[in-house]
Amino acid sequence: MTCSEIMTSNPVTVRDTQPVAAATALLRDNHFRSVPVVDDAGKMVGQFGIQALLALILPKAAVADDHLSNLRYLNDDLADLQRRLVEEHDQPVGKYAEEVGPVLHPDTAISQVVFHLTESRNNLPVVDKDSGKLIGMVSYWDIIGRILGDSK
Amino acid sequence: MILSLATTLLGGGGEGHGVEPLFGWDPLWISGVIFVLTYGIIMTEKYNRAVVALLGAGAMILFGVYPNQTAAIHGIDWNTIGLLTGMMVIVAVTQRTGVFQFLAIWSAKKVNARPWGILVMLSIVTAVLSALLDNVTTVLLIAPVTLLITEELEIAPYPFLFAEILFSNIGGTATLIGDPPNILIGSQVETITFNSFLTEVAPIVPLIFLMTLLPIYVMWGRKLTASDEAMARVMNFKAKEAITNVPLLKKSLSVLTFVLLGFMVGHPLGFEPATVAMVGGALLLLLDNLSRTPEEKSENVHHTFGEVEWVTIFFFVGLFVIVHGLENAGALDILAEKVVGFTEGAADSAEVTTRLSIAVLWVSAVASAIVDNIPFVATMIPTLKTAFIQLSEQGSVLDLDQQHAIWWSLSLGACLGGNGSLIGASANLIVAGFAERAGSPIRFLTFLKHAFPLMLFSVAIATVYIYLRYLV
Repeated sequence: MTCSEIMTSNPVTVRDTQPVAAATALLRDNHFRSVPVVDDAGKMVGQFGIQALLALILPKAAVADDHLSNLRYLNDDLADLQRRLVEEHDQPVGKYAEEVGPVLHPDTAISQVVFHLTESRNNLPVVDKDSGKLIGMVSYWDIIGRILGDSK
Repeated sequence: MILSLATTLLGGGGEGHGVEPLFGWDPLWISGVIFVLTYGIIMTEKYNRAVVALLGAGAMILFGVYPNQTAAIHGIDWNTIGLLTGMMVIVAVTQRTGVFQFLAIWSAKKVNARPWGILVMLSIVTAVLSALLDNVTTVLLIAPVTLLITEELEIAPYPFLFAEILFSNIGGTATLIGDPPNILIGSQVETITFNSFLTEVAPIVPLIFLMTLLPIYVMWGRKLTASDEAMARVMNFKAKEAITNVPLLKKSLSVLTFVLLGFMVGHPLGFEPATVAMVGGALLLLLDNLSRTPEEKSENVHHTFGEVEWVTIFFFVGLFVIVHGLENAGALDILAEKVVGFTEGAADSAEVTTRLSIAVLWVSAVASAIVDNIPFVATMIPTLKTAFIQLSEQGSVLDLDQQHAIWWSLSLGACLGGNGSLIGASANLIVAGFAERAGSPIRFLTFLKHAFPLMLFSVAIATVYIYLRYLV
């Protein structure tokens, strides 16, 4: 069995030029952990997820490197966190798209897909080898559902 | 003469199987080509400098410049390696206490979060820590907090980072442990001690600090402003909360004090800086692990050793083998002859000293702005030592004070010269890396435009100092 048989086609995506606010709403409304970011041609640019969103509510210097071992001294309140997020609301989400771990292709073997899922702990994009276009997503539920379904 | 010297040195090279120079090539040429290639590749910055240096060192052995591995290992200055490693261990443990973040935040609050005040305070903290620890570690710890503070103040971080780069190199100039060139000079020149740097180089550093701060004020300081709201955010920082481990902080500060005292009193007792630093590092590791389980101890020690900058250590190892190979093959004799040639026609040893001091100071400064000052100084030390021998053979014997004037010129030139460009010193590149990752990149040419004139200014001050103190 290969990736193309279990993936979810035509996944929800966000354009790299859309504002952070739109991507944030998409994550919040659908309780997604992450959403793939694509360019105008549908080519995978990266992903925008909860980690990237949380990073936006901290000072950039705090998340740029791991040399600040703690932030207890910041003494922030909710308004400070909100201020930082609002400052980024209108920025294009492509600016904060993170590199996706392993990228799957339609012909990737199912065991390899499971192996990557255990490592990445996130949904994985399925990309066309030649065009680089996003054609689907595989979640752990795609796999578990199929396994449970098959065993019934 | 050169070849006979090389043959003598190569012949006396220790145990093991002797390796003849490949195809019977002249070791002088082989070592020269390896040296130029290695330094050239390091300058391109396309490959990791430690890897390139180790390959160059390996080539020196494989191509028969050394008769065997033992002879190559003799070239490694273990005092420098031990001092660097020991200090890196101490700093790795100390930084976990959060004391460096505390110092940066405390100093920002001391001036009521006024931008110019913060710049001055962070410059002082950077300079002092650079002198007491080393400048590379200091910027590694201070630059991230600086970026955090400027972000909260909503002002451009460039003037602050620019000042920190300059003052890390200026502060580091003051002590034997402050800057890698000084570590090399202090380790390889037998008559120079930790205290010599304190009495001979350190006195000019405060003046250079002030005279460098002045143009920074004119360029940026007077225009630095932040809103009341932004300054209130910084004032809202709780500096004490930055300290994460008070018992460890006490242990770290005790060991650091012991180590600094050790540097001061160790030399007369016959203890080299590497011994003091390594004992200090081991002692702090012991203290840090007292109450841990055996598994935790093992994990913690492993973690601490993992934080040692092995790239720097291996870079030094490779460089030492390369430079010693060059020395053994007689190539440095030629370089030294050029240096001696510069003194031709000098009336006496005083004039020789004057000419050499000024030349070494300025050549070191400009060279250190263009290439990494570590390999430059690593090459200059044996070259100057050879030049002193050649001069004495020609009847121009330089006494210790005169030789020291030239060593101080090398120290001041190489350390201050590191400020000339973004690639002049390791600390500069580290700050630039932080700035880029935090979204405020420092442009090479912009930095050059601001820093090079200031570097020349500081070297001019050093020239006057060297002249008035040692050459008149």
